[in-house]
Amino acid sequence: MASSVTNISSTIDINFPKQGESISSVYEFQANFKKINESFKTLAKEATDHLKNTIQVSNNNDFGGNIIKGFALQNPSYRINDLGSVSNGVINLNYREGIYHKCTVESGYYTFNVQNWNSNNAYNKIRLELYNQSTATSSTFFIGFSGDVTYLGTPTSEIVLTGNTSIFYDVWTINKGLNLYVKPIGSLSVTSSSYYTSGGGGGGGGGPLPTISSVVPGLFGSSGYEGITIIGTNFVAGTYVRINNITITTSTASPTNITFISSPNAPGTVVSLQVFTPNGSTSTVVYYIDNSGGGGGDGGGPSE
Amino acid sequence: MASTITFYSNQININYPVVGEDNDTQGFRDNFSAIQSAFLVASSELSTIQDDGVKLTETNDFNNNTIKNVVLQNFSEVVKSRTVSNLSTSYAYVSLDYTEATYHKVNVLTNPSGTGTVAFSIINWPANGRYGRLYIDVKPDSTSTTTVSILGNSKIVGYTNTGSVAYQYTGTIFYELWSTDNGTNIFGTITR
Repeated sequence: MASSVTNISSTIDINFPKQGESISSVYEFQANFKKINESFKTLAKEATDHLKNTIQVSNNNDFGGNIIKGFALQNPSYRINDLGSVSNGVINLNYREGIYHKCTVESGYYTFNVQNWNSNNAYNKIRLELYNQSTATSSTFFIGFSGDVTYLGTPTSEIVLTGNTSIFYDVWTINKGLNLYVKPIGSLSVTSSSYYTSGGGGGGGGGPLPTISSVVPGLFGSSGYEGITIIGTNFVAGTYVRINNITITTSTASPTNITFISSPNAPGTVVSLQVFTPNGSTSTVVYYIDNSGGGGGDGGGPSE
Repeated sequence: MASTITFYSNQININYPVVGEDNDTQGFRDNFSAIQSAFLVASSELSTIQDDGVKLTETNDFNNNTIKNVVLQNFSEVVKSRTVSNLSTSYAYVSLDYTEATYHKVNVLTNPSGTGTVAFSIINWPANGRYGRLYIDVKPDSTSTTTVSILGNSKIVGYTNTGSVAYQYTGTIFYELWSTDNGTNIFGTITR
């Protein structure tokens, strides 16, 4: 973008006052001073814009999600998000906080939920380090990741670590977390492992995996406020439900039933439903479509 | 940061000289002084932009400041290639500087008649609390056993807490190493 300072400064009469001529009017002095003043105002405005928005190597820079391209990285470092000691259950990892996340853990069940992925159609990856704070010779962990996860490499859920050591995972997405890929990098002291055999499209987690066999009614009324029942298995105490990744209020729960009141949705809306148990397990994600007719009905089972 | 040019340019009396009055020539000098001061400020601010602004046509050193909330496109990482030899001593010590490159390609001319050792020391990791990652692309040429060591407190996944790994292999050995504490602890994986 070209500066517009000269648009004004070029109108300054640099030949005034003319040699050998008497000055007929002081207004011409005033006019020149005014143009100089206006030129400075324009210059200041442009300088302010540059000072505020130009990348400066002497400051931290927030690119506001814009692209920088065509460069070579040398001597980069990356921000670390060290969550310290975390408790069993669902652990939220904020992508905005860094691409290297470290959690100090003890034996138990953990499901990691990565939030705030960057833009769609961009490759975002984090590395996760789980550091075992126990000095015991054998600590057992059940590790899972929430969301629509595809495991690469050797997908183990149950791992056993020896003493103070770490295990690493890479987690990435190209569609803002809609689909995740998880690749176990490995551990410095895995003494045994068992292969995670359940799962499918949903995220694998620790403990017994909740299953959803049906959702009644299968097609929800668009006007909402109707009772919905999720029928399945392994709905242990503390199980909760998320619709479109938002935890909802459920009214009753048993090992095989969870009920809740639906919210209004536009006809034809496709939503996701997921069941989480407190030990970190997640169900297969189920998609269902609101009945455009509204009012609820005797629809079929959920579609995936 | 806002520009302060107008602090001085606003001191220019745009109504000077005044019509119908004897005007002291000091008014001219005052105006010229304000103009000069405004130019000095403009020059200083432009210098800041020129000195610290990122340039599309040059290498830019961000001095470890943070850049965030950015989408990277079409970028590469600097590679440093070298050939090391341990023909005479059967031992090669190689210092790899993180600040020079994050991909180090090392051809190793080992002792063709016997075993050899190549020891890598990585210097200038990012500061403690920053995650740094680099690759070492090692290619020994010997069919005898070559031992590759990552010096320091290095732990390689799958290799029993040691950074020293022996190979009898002439192909490329690929390390990914990382540290979060300025190299005090180095973690890594090996692919070959």
